[in-house]
Amino acid sequence: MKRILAILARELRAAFESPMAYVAIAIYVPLQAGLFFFLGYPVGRVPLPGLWEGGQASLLVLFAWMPLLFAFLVPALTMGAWAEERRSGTEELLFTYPLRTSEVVAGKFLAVWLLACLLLAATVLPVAITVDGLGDLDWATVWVGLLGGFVLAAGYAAVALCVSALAAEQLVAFLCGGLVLAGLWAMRLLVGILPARFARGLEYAAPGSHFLDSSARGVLDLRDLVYFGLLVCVGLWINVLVIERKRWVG
Amino acid sequence: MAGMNKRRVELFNAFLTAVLLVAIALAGNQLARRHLVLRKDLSQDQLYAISDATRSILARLEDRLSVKAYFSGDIFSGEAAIAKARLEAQLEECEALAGGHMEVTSVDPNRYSEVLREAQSYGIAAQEIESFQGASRRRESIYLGLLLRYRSREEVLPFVHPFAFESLFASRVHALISDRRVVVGWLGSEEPPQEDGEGSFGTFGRARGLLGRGREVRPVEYLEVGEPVDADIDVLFVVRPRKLHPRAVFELEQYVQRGGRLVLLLDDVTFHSRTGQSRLEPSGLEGLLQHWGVRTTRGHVWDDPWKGQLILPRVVTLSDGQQGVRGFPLDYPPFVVPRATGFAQEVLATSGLSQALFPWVHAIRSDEPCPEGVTRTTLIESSPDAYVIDPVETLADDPAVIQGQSDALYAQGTRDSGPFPLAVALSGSFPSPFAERGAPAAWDPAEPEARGVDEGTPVLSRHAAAQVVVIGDADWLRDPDLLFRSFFSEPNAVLLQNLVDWLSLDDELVSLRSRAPRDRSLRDFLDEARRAGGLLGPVVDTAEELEQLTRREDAAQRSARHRQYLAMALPIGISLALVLGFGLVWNLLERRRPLARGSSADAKEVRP
Repeated sequence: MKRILAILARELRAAFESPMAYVAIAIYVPLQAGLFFFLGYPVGRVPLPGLWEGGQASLLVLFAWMPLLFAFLVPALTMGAWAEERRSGTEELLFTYPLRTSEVVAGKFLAVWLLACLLLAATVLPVAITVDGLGDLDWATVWVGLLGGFVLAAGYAAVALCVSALAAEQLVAFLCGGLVLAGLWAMRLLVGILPARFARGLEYAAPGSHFLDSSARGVLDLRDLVYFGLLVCVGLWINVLVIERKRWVG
Repeated sequence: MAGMNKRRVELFNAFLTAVLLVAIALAGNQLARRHLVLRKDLSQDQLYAISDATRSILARLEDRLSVKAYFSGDIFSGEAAIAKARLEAQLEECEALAGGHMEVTSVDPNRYSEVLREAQSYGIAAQEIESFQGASRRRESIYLGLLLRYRSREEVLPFVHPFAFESLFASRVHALISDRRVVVGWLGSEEPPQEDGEGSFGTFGRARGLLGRGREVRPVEYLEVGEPVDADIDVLFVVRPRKLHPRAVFELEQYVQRGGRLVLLLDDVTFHSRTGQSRLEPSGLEGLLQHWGVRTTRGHVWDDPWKGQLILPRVVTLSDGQQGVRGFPLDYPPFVVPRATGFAQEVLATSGLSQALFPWVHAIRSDEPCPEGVTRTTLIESSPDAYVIDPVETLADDPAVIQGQSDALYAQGTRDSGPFPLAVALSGSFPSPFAERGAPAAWDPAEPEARGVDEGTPVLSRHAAAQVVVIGDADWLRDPDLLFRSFFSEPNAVLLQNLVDWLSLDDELVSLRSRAPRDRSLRDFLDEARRAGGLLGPVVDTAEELEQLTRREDAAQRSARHRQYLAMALPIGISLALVLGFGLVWNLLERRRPLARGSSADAKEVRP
């Protein structure tokens, strides 16, 4: 555990010193606010209006965009996790220390997740406080939505780290991670055009279904926690396999 | 060579492990889906959990409630398959709550003709669902109906959508375990049954037959002679009223005063399918409706984007050389078929509906103010690109003529803007228009045209909370015939059932009805700016004043927009300040202690 925490501290320090995270955040925050306040969520069967047009104190639109926005934000946070180590040659150095691969992967994952959670709280809570000042906001929904957002970020971080481990360059890691996560988000949109047997499976497999239909609306569902828990476990395990393979096979 | 083999084996092992991991994840999810059903709605509105009212109803079951689900088995449409899965999950949840007193069985009407006949005999009808696969379109008939049996009673839900499942299911179970049946009153100008009509009661036979399933349908008569509406009538349908006597109008109004639930199906134009002509006939309710702030347009709604089809009979020569009649579909904009966005999703009666047919519907004007204490909710509306045209007097059967009329309307440019309300609900405590002028005298056969005042009849005003639903059309309940075979189709039947269920919920189920989201309106910056600028209700006499007023209105709108931008900038500023401020402080601190902690390049090194 101590070694995982050491990796976590190292990754956080590197993230705080890198301009990449700040650039991503500087783009993410105004984009999210603009979508929430003005555009709404014009996707899916029942489009949701923006805050001013809808006139109701609710963060549902903010949460509705989260799976798609996170599909690009999380890869921006993870793209350097392995690709940059490889480029700068620190990967070999890292594994000269008495560390297991799983500990390094866990440390990197926790760092990205913690960063994403901090960012989520720092962007959602100011919006929630503003909306509460304008109308009667249901804070229980906000807290459950935040919790769901944390769990969603964990699932995305595990997948994006895995992609970063496979990629040789940061940019490739970002683009591939973004594409994979955006693809997972888009699976929900395909249910209307796919035959039933595929549609049901896709709907259940899409991470957005386990967030938008439950915690984004203030509902805690144990099945969603199991889904994201398994997604994280599988993502990290494959990550370990990829790193091990690269380490030993070359 | 050995190295190559080892590499292949390693690769294969990694791949196999990854596949196994994914398989374990899928199996874990499948298990969780079936056995870890633990769901808690923590929101204030409690819209996504089984309500206390439903739990209480299910807990009161003493005998076995048998639920037979007539669900299509092989569903092609993805959305319909998901709706079915959600319904099954909701049924399972109710089954668990019933503590062994509920049993669910599922049958597929699409597979067995016997089951199909049984479903049809219970009024369970398929909905036509259109789905896409790539560029191809596919229509399929989907059954999602329920038959509920408890002791010797039966209740039917012809088509259930997951959004509306709980309220409909709970109200039917409630009806099964209650001692008393819902009574539906029916007041309407009956037309003689048409020769080729199928209804046993005349023009609205099918609708009345459907209302009679599990309920009592009672004709309401003699209102004009001073007979009040029976107190035990839960919902009263007034269908296409014609020249109602003032006393009858008074009795209807007093029924509302006593907390009644009234459904007015207004249709001032009578169309005769045999002659193809129509005539305008007032209902007699115009004064009362005006008092309630409701006015229907004299003309019909022409809705090109949401148009329905008219089946026109044409004489054709058949393959054997004989002549016969065959129906040809014609796209017809006066037949309005609202889509999902045209139905109020927050109201149980219309939640989840995606279509219904309103032939020659009148729009309901919402520019009249409602009386104090009464709220108006639009239940169904036309598309935004609809028009109100002069009443349709003859049946156009030439597609070119219809298209020409559509083009001409759209070319006009200036017009009444849609969407037009087609059905509205009024709720609250209504002031009586008879409170000051007294009850009209009853009809006297000796002096049929006399219009006096009956001093002896008390007049109730704002007596009890009531609900009135006004729909600008009665044809949507009309029996299908050769010409209008699309009338009273399955979606219309679902709407009718939903309306009755929604209106007839008793006190125990009020909590179900009130499960709409709480009003959480935001501060209206524009209204505040208008108030601050003295723009509410100013009287303008001169052109100069009008110009000044316009400038102040522009300024108010600018001010409201600025405040909106400011409200948006606030959280952006806080978020960026938090994150970037933290980054700045962190980096400054890191640079101040380079010797103690090493250079920033060294920071990449790990010190476990």
